[in-house]
Amino acid sequence: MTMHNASNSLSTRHGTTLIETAILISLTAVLSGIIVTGMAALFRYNRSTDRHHVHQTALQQMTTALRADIHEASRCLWNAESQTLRLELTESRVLEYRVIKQRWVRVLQAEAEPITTSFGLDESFRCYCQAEQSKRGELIRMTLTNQPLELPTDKLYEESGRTERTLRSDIVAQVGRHFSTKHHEP
Amino acid sequence: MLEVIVGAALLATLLIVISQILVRLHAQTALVDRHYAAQQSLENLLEEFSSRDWAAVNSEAIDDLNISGDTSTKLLHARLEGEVVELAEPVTAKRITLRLHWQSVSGIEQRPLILTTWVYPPVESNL
Repeated sequence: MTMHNASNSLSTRHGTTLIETAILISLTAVLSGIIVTGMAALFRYNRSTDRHHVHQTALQQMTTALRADIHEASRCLWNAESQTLRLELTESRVLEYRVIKQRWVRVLQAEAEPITTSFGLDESFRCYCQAEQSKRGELIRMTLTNQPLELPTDKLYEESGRTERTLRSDIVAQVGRHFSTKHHEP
Repeated sequence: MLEVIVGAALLATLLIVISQILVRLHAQTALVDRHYAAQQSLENLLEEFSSRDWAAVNSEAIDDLNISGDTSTKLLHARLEGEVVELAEPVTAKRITLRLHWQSVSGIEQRPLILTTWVYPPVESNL
């Protein structure tokens, strides 16, 4: 009788076996690995995307300002060696786009102190510029990029997962366009 | 054991949701990139076209305009349309309108980007 009771209590025993514990530990380890790897990838992607967006916004701001300034200019001079674009405006004002302290800046030299605007683009961005004569005046073609010009821009989508991404902006602007249009405004 | 399975299932659901959000986010970023490329390309084309000789600015000449190679690789089935309207009032001018159509990666036609500018005859011919 006593033997029978002991056998019963053994078969209905609650708890976990060594195999169950081992499976649990393995599952937890695998899950932890997936979570850590996933989060690391997420942070890496977030950092890369943030930097790309900051550069892209800065590039957009600079190209918009450049186009507007070229329209306002009466003369445009480009020095490839010093990477300086000099724009002569009306009333003896001079505008310069160049790199100061490793950043692209717009410097307006008027009568008083120069007014400097920084665009948040570092010196890794190079500027390529060429001028051509059109029927209505000088036409400026500029390219601002953080990669060599030869690199195709479709790399932008192929390399989306990489830390460094190709950013390029091409501008065509007519020198003094605003000035010549103003002449005819009703 | 059951708790672990439930936990793993919840975690898997969460990971799927996060990865879907990331995929959508990436698609939106690519869309913004394409829109910016389209806008820049159209601005450049308009600038180039409007710098032509007064007589050469006409609707037929718009057909000669080509979208740059870089832009056409980014924008699927990109096509350019436009028109030049001659105006006499309040001043003599030509209104140039360019429209850039393209499709998304999934083949959906995107809302066209439209830019307009005015050109005026050379000052000498007004005198």
